[in-house]
Amino acid sequence: MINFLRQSALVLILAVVFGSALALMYASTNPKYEANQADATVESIARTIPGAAEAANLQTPKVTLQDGREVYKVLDGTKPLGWAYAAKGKGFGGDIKLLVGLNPKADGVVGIDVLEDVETPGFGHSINEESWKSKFRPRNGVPLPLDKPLVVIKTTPKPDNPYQIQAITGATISSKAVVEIINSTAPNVAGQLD
Amino acid sequence: MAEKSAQPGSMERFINGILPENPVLRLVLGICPTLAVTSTVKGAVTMGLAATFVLFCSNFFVSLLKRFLQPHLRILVFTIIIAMFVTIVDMFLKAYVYEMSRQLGPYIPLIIVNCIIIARAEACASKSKLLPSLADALGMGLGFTLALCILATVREILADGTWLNMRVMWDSFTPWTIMKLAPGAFLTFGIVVGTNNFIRRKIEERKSSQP
Repeated sequence: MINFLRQSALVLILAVVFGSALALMYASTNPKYEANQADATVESIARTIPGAAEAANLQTPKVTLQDGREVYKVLDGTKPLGWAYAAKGKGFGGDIKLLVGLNPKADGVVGIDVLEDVETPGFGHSINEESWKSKFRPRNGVPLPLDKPLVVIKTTPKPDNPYQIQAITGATISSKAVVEIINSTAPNVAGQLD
Repeated sequence: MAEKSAQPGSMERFINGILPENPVLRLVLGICPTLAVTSTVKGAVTMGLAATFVLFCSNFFVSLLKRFLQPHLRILVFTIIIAMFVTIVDMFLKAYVYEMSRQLGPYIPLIIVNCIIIARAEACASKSKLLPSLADALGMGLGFTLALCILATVREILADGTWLNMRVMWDSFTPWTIMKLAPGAFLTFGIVVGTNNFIRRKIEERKSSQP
């Protein structure tokens, strides 16, 4: 026993001292980290919901749905701007995490933002570009409807067809993955919000 | 002032790490982060400085504690020390450089298994006095940062036409997407190591032809 303690004394002392130091460091930096994460979420919501970026008094209270999913109710003061929720799915390189925005009546998609992805730079990673994300914006003021699934096509969609999304050239799998995440979650979330 | 013993002095240790024994270009250590985070110069600088900080603190503690190291427990002690400072760096970046922390992802926690740091603890700090150990850490750390920056400079300029997010190429420049991907990292790494060896050989040839 004595021999064991003598041999391991340094390891034990270091573990206790460093462990305490890390606990202090965690206590002092974690509130800042959580604030950073919250800020990032609010910024993402502002990119997703039309009008949220210009809102004078942006509020994003969290609502928990029956199936446990958390949805942000996006308000400017008391005026509803829409709903936003995070959803995850398989992309080409790994998981893609999206923030999906719905209109205040929760019957259509009004925008998306990519929270996390490991898609190939130059190809699938282009799902982050505004030029592609804008394809999920309302067309002529009408949000993308949820009664039928959205489909990915390789050509420019017809102006009167609100269900078609043009794929990114060379990144059909990533494009389909994003659309699939929306198709598999949005009608379900919208249904629970009514 | 050079020391007479077999152990190199502080200044020599410092300079050795930067070029003559550059950890990436000469010793070929720490290749995982070298390939992974050199797609942008900003990421490379952050990674280099984070690793330098950990290396400095690890060499400091290992050198201080070298009298108490049990031979069969030394690696365990190195790991505890390294893991402690890597966690501190990780927490610091998450709190104060959030965007960078997200971009580097798991590669900051992975500094724990960066073999440059454990190699310096084993080869230098556990056998040297405090000052040479610290000089060694700074030299190796700066050498690592320098190598990462060289790779990142080549890759960022060719892949994005920018350097530290500043436009350096002409507007119609076609980005080389491959330089952003893993093959681009390997190609650049090979060419940079080869160039470094070529220059070194030329210098040595010149030295030996003019005694």
